[in-house]
Amino acid sequence: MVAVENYFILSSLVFLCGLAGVMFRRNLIMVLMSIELMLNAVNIIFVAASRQLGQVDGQIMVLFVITVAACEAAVGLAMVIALFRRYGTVNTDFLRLLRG
Amino acid sequence: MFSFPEISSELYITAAPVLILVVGSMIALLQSVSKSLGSRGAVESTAWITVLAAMAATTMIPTAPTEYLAGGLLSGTLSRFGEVMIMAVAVGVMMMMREHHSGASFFRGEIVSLFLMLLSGMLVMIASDDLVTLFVGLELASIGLYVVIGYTNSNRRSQEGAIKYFILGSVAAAILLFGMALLYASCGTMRMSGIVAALPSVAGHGWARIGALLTLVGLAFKLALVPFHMWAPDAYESAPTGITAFMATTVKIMILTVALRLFTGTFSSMNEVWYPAIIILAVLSMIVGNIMALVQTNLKRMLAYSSIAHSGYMAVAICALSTTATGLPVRAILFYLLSYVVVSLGAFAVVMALETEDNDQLTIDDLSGLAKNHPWLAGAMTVFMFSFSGMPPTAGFIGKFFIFNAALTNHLYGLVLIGVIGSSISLFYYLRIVVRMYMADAVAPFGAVKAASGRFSLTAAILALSVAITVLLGTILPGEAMERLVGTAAEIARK
Repeated sequence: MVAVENYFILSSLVFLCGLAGVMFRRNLIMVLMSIELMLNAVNIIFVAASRQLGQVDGQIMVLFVITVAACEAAVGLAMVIALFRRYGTVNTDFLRLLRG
Repeated sequence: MFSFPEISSELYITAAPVLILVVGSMIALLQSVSKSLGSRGAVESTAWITVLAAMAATTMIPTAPTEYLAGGLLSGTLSRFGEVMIMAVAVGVMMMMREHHSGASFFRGEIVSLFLMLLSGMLVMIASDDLVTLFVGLELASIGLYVVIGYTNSNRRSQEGAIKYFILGSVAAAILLFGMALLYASCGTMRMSGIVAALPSVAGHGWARIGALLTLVGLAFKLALVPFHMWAPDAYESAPTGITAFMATTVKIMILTVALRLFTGTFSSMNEVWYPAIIILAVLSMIVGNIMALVQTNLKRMLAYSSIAHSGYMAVAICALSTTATGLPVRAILFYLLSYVVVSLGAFAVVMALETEDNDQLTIDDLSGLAKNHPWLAGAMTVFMFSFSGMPPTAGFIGKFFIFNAALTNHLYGLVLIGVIGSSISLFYYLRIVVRMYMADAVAPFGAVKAASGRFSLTAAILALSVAITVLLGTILPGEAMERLVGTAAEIARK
């Protein structure tokens, strides 16, 4: 038997990897992937908790999170493509029009 | 044998606003395939019919607190309060957009479709008690907003603001979801009311505490409380002004409704986690928001920082929820929210009336001498600035009074002191605008000439209404308004 806390620790580590990716990556595609990683880290908790509680609720939530993540990725990629057309790069260093 | 539960007619009445908005959104989307159906006039009529019908439907939501679809939808006074406010803001913003130069790009099939869809997401989030519908509603609203900010006017500034808002907003949603997942794991239920009921018994568990803290961080991100405010000035500045007005008001309504449902009754059990965290957020928001607003030259950016400070004042009242007598702080927050929404809408309406296509980033200097050319606009702006800074006889004064009163009743003397200091700092930058309008001469020809030609009749109506409500709430109606909010406060406290 693996205690459910271990899944929480695993999920927290994956979540932190995603957070670090958003904070330190300069490439917008990598930032988008890091956001996906964060959302999927949460899914680990939902599945583990749902298994432990003997409920199906958490697993249903996972289906919704996956769907929402797909929508977010679609909108995010569309924005990145629009930015690439304008700037010719997907590097975040070019985003410095708004300051203060 | 499995049998389907009976569906009552009250469910349809409660769900009607959301259903109307979704149908309207689909129609607007289909309209954009054809040139004649997708013309501005046709799309605009779809938008108006949908929004007005949905607004009428929100006023019919039953006041008896009942839940439908296993907590997916709640009727009751709080749901009705939030939903009516959101739809009223939507109607106001569309009235302003109609006469603004960005109206042509706003009333397009795909943008209107997204706008109606994100409105339905907001209503779903306000009226939900279940984490699934809560999350889906939040994301529906957020994803719609990212696109509407970036693509209504597709210029460099908008796109940059939109991608920044997108990244930080998605991170906020992920953090909120992480916190909620841990709360689900600790409390064993997806229902907000179940979590609220179970939290006191699991408050000692480490994972439950982390979950509670991360949920707070996620909400603070969306409310733009310092230090999670970085997206707000960029998003406010870059969005078309009508969308800025919409975002500044509706997102706060939506998140504060959820925060009130979550914090009321559970706050004392999670005291060690939430209490210090919210105090830090409130203090930083009041100080940083007001000081940063002082140094801004761009009008919309200044309003963004001032809205951060206003979130800080509301966070002070959330701290006051820590005692058992929650009625006073809940009513204070709802009253402050009402006055903030009305005044913000009015202030942004003034900004929109002055904007032209050549100058859509107004600075504070652009307002110089406004009182000579447009005494009515200047007068309205003066009322709004007085209300924002909390001077009598306006709604802002009464709102701040209620908030500080609730905090003092709970012995939060330090917070009230910082709030008062923050208010006095804010007096400086709000009154600077008034001084510029009345004392200074016009330094440059600005776009205000349009306002004189009578094209801004709808905006003028909004302004008159906002001024009237601001003054009435500040003079003869506060008692009446608080009286009406008693039921709402009781409904939240009962959960």
